[in-house]
Amino acid sequence: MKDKFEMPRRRFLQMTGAIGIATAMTAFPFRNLQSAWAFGDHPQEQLPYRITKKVPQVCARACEADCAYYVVMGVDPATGLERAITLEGRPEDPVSNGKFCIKGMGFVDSLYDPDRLMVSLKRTNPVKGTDVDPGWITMKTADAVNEVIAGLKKLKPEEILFASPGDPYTNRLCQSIGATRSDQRTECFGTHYYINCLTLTNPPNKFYSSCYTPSHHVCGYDFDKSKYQVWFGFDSFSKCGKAGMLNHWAAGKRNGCKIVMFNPVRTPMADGYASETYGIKPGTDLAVALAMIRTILAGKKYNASFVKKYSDATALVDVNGRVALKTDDGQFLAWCSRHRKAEPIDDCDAPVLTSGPFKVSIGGKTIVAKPVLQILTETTSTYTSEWAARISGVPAKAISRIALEFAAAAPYSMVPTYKRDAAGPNYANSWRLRHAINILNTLSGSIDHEGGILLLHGVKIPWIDELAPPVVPYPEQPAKSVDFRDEFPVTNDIYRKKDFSAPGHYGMVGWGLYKTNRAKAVFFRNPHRGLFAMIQPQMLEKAADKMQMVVDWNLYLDDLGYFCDYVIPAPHQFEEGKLDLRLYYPKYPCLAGGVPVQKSPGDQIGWGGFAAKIGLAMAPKYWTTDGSSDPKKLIPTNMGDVAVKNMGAAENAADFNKKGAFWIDRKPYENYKQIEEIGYGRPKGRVRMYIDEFSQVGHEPLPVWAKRWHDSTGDYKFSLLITRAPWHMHADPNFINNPVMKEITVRNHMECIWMNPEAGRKLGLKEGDMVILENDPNYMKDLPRPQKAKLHLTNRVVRQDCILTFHGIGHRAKNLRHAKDFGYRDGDLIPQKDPNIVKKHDPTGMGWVEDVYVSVRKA
Amino acid sequence: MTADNKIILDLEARATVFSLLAQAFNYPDRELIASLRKGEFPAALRSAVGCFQNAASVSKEVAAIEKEYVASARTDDAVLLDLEKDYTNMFFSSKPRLVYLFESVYNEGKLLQDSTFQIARLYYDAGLRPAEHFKLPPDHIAVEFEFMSYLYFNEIKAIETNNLKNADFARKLQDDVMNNHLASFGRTLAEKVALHGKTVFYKEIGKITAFVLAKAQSR
Amino acid sequence: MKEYAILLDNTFCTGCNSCAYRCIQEFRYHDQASKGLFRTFVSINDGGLYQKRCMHCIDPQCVKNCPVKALTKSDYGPVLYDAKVCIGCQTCVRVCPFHVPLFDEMTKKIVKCSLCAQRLGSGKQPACVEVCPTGALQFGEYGAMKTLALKRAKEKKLKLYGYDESGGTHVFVLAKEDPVAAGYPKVQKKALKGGRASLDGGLGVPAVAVLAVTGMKKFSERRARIEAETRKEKS
Repeated sequence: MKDKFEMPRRRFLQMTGAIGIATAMTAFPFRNLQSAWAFGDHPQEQLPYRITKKVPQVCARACEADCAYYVVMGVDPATGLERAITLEGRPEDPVSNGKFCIKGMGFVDSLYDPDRLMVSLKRTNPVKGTDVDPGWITMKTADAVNEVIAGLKKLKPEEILFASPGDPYTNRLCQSIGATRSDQRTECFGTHYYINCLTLTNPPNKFYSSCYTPSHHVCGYDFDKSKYQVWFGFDSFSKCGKAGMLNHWAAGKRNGCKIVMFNPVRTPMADGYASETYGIKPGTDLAVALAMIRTILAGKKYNASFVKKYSDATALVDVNGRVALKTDDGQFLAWCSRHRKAEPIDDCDAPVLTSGPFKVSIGGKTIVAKPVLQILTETTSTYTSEWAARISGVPAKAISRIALEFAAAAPYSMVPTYKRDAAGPNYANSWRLRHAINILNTLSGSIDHEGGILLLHGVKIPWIDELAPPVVPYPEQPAKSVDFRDEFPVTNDIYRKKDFSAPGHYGMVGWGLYKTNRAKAVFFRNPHRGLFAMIQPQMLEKAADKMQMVVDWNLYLDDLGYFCDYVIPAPHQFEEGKLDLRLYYPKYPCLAGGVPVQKSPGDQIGWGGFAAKIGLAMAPKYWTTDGSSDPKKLIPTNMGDVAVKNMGAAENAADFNKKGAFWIDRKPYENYKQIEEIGYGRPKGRVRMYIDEFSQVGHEPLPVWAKRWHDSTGDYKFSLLITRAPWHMHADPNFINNPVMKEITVRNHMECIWMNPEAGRKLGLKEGDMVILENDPNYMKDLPRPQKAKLHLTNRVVRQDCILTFHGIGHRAKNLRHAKDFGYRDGDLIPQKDPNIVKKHDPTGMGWVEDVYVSVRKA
Repeated sequence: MTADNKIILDLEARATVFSLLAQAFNYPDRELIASLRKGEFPAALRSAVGCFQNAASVSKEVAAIEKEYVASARTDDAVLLDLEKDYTNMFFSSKPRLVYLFESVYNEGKLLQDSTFQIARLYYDAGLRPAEHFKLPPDHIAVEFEFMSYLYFNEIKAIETNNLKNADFARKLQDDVMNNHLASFGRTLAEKVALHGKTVFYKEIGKITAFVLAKAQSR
Repeated sequence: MKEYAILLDNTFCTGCNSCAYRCIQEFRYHDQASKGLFRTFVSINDGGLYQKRCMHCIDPQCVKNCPVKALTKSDYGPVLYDAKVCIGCQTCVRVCPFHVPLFDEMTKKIVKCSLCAQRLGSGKQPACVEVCPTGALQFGEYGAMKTLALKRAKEKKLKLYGYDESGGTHVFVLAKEDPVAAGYPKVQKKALKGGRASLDGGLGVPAVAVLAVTGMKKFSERRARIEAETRKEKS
């Protein structure tokens, strides 16, 4: 290290000193290189050019599964320069079973996407819009962060919207400031989340931490051991690429599981894994589910011991008030056939399941009450298979047979469902379908049983608030939130009082930004979704014009950038540490860790650090141990350390990573144990079928038939079905800006809209024609934006009354060189919702993404 | 003038040219603006490119920089803002991205690829590594230019101390960087900057860089 | 060395193309793949799934007809390709009954599966088999794979492809429906030539490994790429 640069430096300074070379004052007159050895003295040893090392990582944000795997690194031992090459499986991971998918591999290549945002950008042109040059200048990220904070400080908390998932840092930040958090990403899980929270487990519970799951789901499915499954649109094209699920479905198939699929589209999942398929009419799955419930109840084929012991089936409900009767300490009451009176449900040795009404005396008043199962039987009594067949197009005999086969296979039978299937936030009646599905899974006794629904147990990652409880109560959340949460008491109660990470009402947040003046600044903690995550992004684009400040923390400069004042670079997901508790397949208590594979190649800032800076500046009493703004007094946020220590997995996160970043307790699953611990009304928790919160807001406490919101009229006769290519995730540039995946997309016609050949023939359309998709103006009154798309005629679209679109293409971010202008954008066709309309149809306030009919004509 | 002196003068000029180009391809700052406004940057550039044959062919580009910035009525802040916007637009935010700063994007279409490893290995071989504060990938054009400058200086030092081994080594590394790295991607990058730059500075620097890289390959 | 084969049970495949992408990362041919030059690729067609990949024929027409012996049949299964020897005449493209070899106009070379010969040498499965999330791809000793394919075809009433097409191959495909309807080329069936193919200049695994794993790209290739990109941009 001696004699590094003496003579040349002198001469160099002679020549360049006069012209102000920036580095002239430093010991070594080069800016970006530093001397390690004297020139020529270096030994020049011939080390092997490349060796490999494996870095444990956990997939995140690409699907519900979160596979654990290794990132295989190429390393130059001389320079220390490293590069990720591919992935290697971790067979010990119960989720992935040693597998990973094309998207996981796509993450490896996107680390090196040249379109990644590497510096912070600040707009110098105040005029916004897609055709306007923002006049970006580059800033040091530290300076940009300070300017963002200064901008936020000028506003009242209720004027700030954080469009962000409810991670621990965002939760703390929004709660400490008193600002609204609403998220597009988790909205698609909202239907599941809220209905599950109202039936299976009410948060918080001793295990569940929704932010640590990518799906906001509260349970997993034992596909491996299941014997009978009913899939309502569960076999989407996107499922075809989810390795963490595929390996389990394959195991189930090898175990002889029978799967019945209802879907207007025939997917490769149906080709290989379905025992029976039915091309159901879009938006009518609820009718089939209701008829299945009716068939099971009518034949008394339900699992009586389960529903008595672990559900509210015997709970008495006031038939007039439509609320469950409870003791003073909150226990359900059941009618005891032996003592002929109402008794606390857990003390009742002969609870009545069906029959009634019974007269119950409470507080001197006589109440007419019936058990939940009796009310359910009466409510569904008209939902015969024949009735459902007329609505859905599925043969009545098949519905009855499937219901009985489903019941016969119990408890190794189940109806699985995640986000973008029929029971996702897709139709105005999807929440009812989700409720009906939970009831089917309850009647079969498959909840909390092997081969059925698995519940998380024996593992917990704490929240920041558990490590650092707020010293004083958080300020009130805004009385009027931008996403209209406050007008949906059922979900608002969960969000404000129980789980601040609960999904936001993104189907209305665009409406709120556009139609009200509640928000003056929007902060997108949005690492790679852009405007794509929005339905009808037209509204947000317009709304952005009137915002005082729009900030995006993002891996890319995407289409959101057209409307931003600052874009701050985020690290890639492989450049961050992680800890995941394997909720997708929670058969065993398990923790899997992720270690950063490299330093971000630029001036990126991680979210934890960014949030802490904002918190320290805007709400220091919640962010420091002594209420000061001193960053040295920052509250503890080492959730990973605490989690691994509590589990006995390691001393701390570093130790855990050193040990391989994986811990599992392979004890056998204890059937029906977890439901008591985390179910409704714990400590002796139960599944709840009757949701009286719904009746209190004018909705039905048990699922009843309701058709979808959008009618088909005139030319608007094609129901818009939405799926994704198996290698895409939203419009995530990690995948959509990948030229190889683009080629795979084109070769599989997934940049097209798909239509049944006979439907195309009737419209005079041919394969490859360009067509225009248009909304019915009665259903999209503001800012319609028709889409032009290429047509693929295929008999995989089984019905003539629908078209299949692929989500995640049609990117308008022109700086993404492969993604830009590729295909069409489905989101433009899905209206943001007027909250007054939503309230009439859905007490959870979730979005209805597929509840649209469009017209199709030749371009 | 002895042959050695002539060689040394030539090498000094080359070292200066590459050092100036490195400065030009770093994010613009006040020091650059100051040296532009005082005329020092263009003067040094004019003098240094004289080491190449047909240097007169870029004299108008240097003159254009001089004319635009020396004694300009605009404030330093306004000039800097223009350069910042132009630089950010070309290299970080344009739609589509007009110019990439990193060699591997030209060679392999992505960041941090084999060519990045190769150039980093050459820095290593020369006893260098990217500075701690430099967070971008090491095949940034400005770093490669700095590296060339460093190699020329070390050749001078080797010649002056009669260290033939080091002089040979410096030339070998120069050839490697030029032939296997800069000559291919650097020229493409320079042409793109000349084409897409909106400010006189970047437009002309693009042309001058293309000229320098074309000439620097041969000694 | 043992003789190997792949068994592809199409009833487990979902068209996720993880095999295609893992192959690309194994051999780092992202550029070629982005132009549609895949060594293995799954098309989701109306009639089913078509996994286009080299069938590694027992008696390969490409090997027979290659004028410079750039293609060779190994004794352990794979049909191997030596890009250094290839003169880019495209004879193999014309004669392959499965339409497998793809010609890269830029490098004037062929793109084709090698059955990950370099991995076999170190005891690993082909990359596509290892990654397949459902186990639709299985890899093993030729005789065992053949027996399993026949057994499963019979038990599950599946169609078998690759067994006697063109005199037999080292890839057995099982499908519910006719594989030709899914996109597989209709190829004349011929009596099997017998298990182990002739050596005919076959390369050993270590040599193949060197050929198969591309090292540093050459400057000339880079220049060609940059020039091609520049031409495209100017046009």
